[in-house]
Amino acid sequence: MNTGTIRQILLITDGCSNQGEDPVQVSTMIADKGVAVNVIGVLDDDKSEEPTGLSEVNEIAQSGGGISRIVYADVLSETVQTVTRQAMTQTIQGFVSKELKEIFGKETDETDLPPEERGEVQRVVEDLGETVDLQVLILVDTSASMQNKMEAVKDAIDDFILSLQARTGNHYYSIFQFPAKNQVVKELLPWTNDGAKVAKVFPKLAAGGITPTGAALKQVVRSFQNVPNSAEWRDDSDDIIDSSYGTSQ
Amino acid sequence: MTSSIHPTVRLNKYQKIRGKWNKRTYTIVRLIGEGARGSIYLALLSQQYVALKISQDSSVVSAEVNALKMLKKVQGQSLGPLLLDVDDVVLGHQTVYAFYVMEYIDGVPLNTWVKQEGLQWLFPASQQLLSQLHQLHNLGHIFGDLKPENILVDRKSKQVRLVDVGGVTPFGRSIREYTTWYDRGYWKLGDRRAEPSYDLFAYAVCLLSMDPHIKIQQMKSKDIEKVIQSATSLKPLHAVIRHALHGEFDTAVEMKHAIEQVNQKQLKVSQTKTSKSNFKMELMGVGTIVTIHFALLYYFIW
Ligand SMILES: Nc1ncnc2c1ncn2[C@@H]1O[C@H](COP(=O)(O)OP(=O)(O)O)[C@@H](O)[C@H]1O
Repeated sequence: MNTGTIRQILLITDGCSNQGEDPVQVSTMIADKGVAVNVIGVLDDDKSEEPTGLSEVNEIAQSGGGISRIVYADVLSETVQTVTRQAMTQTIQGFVSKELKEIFGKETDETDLPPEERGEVQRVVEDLGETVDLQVLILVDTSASMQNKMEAVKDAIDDFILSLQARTGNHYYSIFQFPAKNQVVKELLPWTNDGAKVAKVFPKLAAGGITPTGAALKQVVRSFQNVPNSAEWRDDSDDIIDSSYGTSQ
Repeated sequence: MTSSIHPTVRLNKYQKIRGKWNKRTYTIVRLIGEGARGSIYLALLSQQYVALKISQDSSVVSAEVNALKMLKKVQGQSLGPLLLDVDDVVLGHQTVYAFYVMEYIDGVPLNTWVKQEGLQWLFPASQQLLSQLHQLHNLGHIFGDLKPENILVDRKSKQVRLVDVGGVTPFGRSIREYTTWYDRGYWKLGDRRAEPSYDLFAYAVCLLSMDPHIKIQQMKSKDIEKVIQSATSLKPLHAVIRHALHGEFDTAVEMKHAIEQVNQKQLKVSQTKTSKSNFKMELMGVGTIVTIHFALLYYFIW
């Protein structure tokens, strides 16, 4: 069986976008291209921050067919893994229920099956989760307020790559930062499956002031075209993304 | 939709949970625990106490039920709690939640037990636990999420029982459920692919965490050797622990034998202690002859 490829963007941010396109709308467009958008909102460890500005975090993930969490930096590592895994499972379950629909001829959700039969479905979902190819684009908000969380972000990504490497399926990951000097996003690490590369990337991170989340998402999604040796991914509907909706400001 | 932190489900005392498929009714007694994968309650089925695990995420229930069924294949000694029922319940606004019911183990987590009863309990507990792990490994699976909270000492039988099968993983697969401090990946001492030595690493950290000098959750350093050095009450076990941490035991029985050898040596030393001994004796610390005999007695009964 060709198990296919799962594509995800993982956005790590600490607040509201304040410039450019509406990230929620961009996220919807990205989901339409078969890429799930997961978002992790990172709170300050001193617990002084008001999490109000972070409601956008949930909205972006929801419209992007992904998972979101708002957490303190000290649990970032486990959160990155949970979010990625759950989003992957969600995608696979969507695929499996389509298959079930073909078998049963009607909309069938796992919970419509007697519990005894669910075990088999679960096994299939787990097998796919272990073996599908996974492409994760990590987009890190490096605006000023994120500065003191960068160490935690680096550790979390490091740890995440370790888990990716344990899987049977292939994986590729890339890392982008936004904002960057004179540009919205900057590629820190092109697609790779080499875990050792993360360490070299992170000292380069420098923080800027604005948070153009929508624009950044919109730009990075194109790079799924550049994943080496992978089934072709076409950014067909790029024109829809490029025009048609306003900015959030 | 999925923005809640954990897929926990709140149930009230005396609430009745009636299964949609098997039609059994459970009465909730109290919450036992809440975790990353759901909530677990003490419940009554007629007069019998049971543990009921319910989650917003039905795949959690399916996965753990699969694991519990697999554990049943071990004859004799029961690995993990016995699975009693799997069902769905409709709650509130027609929301369906999957749940499963298992044997309730009236036990004390190993760390609490050791704190109350003394470090000498680590010997019989390790012997038991490592035999159980060995049986599990013989089935081609590892436990994965091994930590003191998941190792219960049954109050009545004093048997060690493993609970929380969410981390059970076939050999060669990636480990999806683990807890930071017990995970060798976190310490940069190995990968997250399932093999017996992964569990043995976790058990070595469990041992370290039971030293009164160690607060594993507060360890800032990722240098495990420093942790070993500060675990001064466990000196006699340092070599075994170090071995396990560096993946040098291939099987659980090897580690079991190594711990047993330390135990034998300790007993000998304690018998000749009156003559002379500069051997670190903290493990036996409060260990009066009575407690040693007590531990030995249990060891032979087990
Ligand atoms: N069958 C059981 N009998 C008694 N206590 C249990 C049983 N299963 C789990 N527990 C207790 O409940 C705690 C939480 O359950 P667990 O399955 O670990 O939930 P989670 O994995 O979601 O954290 C465990 O650490 C254990 O102490």
